[in-house]
Amino acid sequence: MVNSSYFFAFEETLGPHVILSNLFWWASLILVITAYKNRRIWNVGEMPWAYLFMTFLFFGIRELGHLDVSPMTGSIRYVSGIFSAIFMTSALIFIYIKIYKRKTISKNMSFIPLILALIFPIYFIYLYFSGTQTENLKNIFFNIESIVWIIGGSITIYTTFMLGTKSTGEFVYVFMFFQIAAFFAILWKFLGFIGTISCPIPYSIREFLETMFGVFAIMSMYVLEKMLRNLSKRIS
Amino acid sequence: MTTKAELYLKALSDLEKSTGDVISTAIITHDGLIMASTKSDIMHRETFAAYGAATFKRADETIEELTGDNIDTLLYESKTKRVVTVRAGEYALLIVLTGKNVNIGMVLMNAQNTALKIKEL
Repeated sequence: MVNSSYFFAFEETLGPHVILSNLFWWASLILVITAYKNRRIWNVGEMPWAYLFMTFLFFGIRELGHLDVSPMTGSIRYVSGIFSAIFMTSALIFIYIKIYKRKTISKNMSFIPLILALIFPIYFIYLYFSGTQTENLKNIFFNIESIVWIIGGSITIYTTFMLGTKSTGEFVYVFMFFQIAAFFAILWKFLGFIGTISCPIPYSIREFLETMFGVFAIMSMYVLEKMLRNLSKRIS
Repeated sequence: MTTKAELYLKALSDLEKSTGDVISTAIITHDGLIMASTKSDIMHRETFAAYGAATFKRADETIEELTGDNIDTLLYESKTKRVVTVRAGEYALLIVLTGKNVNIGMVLMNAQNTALKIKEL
């Protein structure tokens, strides 16, 4: 007999998804760092690189949070997830502005995502000190994270699609994998979101989607890093 | 020790000196990454490389479909500018952006000679 609590369990502490997800996101972070070393070859500006780095860093932190199921850690995990969504969306918007729209990103504009991201920890602190129960706090930030990922993922699908139309060679794969990752992120968060409203979705399905999100994110970073590394070797 | 990037840059510099009215030159990969480029105030380097590679790829697909051959040289022009892209070996493309005050034959010849040099580097 299948244990239904496995499928509908609300949180997983240490299991295949947590191990794989942590592995993918932290490995992706290493790939971003090694790709960054060759940034002169693909000089899209400092901020897209910084935001890409923070995307993977905060999602890695989010995944590490799986190891502790306390509501407070859960809330902090979701804030990290919100950061990751904002920074991933911003990195691709900035690359889109530079490559597709052929415009320069002003210094003021490049800090907008940081300011936007800062709203959420401030809101978190406000709610915490205004006496909101930690369980409610966790639910609030779970929903906020879902909405931010759904919006951010939709924007990422648009920007990566448009960038793909101006790309060639391996860049097509970089943007395609980012786009597929965004599709998985939307689906994963959408199912989580509707689960809180009325229709609980088996956690194992959401886990699978989240893992696939990580798979495609690491694939896109791997292709980018490999491309830059190979070229760097060739011209040195 | 001289790096390949420096040698590429020298080849581009020689091309610009020998050909008048050159606005910008670049050696790029088929993915649209820059191997070497000279400065241009009119366009971002990454955009120049990405669009140059994408255009060459489309033209290559077109000629392959029509003739079964691969493209070696691509020339396209507007009222004021001209772009010449030449295949420079297996991995590289040479892109030359010029004004209209230069003999097209001279641009093509110099670009093709430079592409040969790049191929040998």
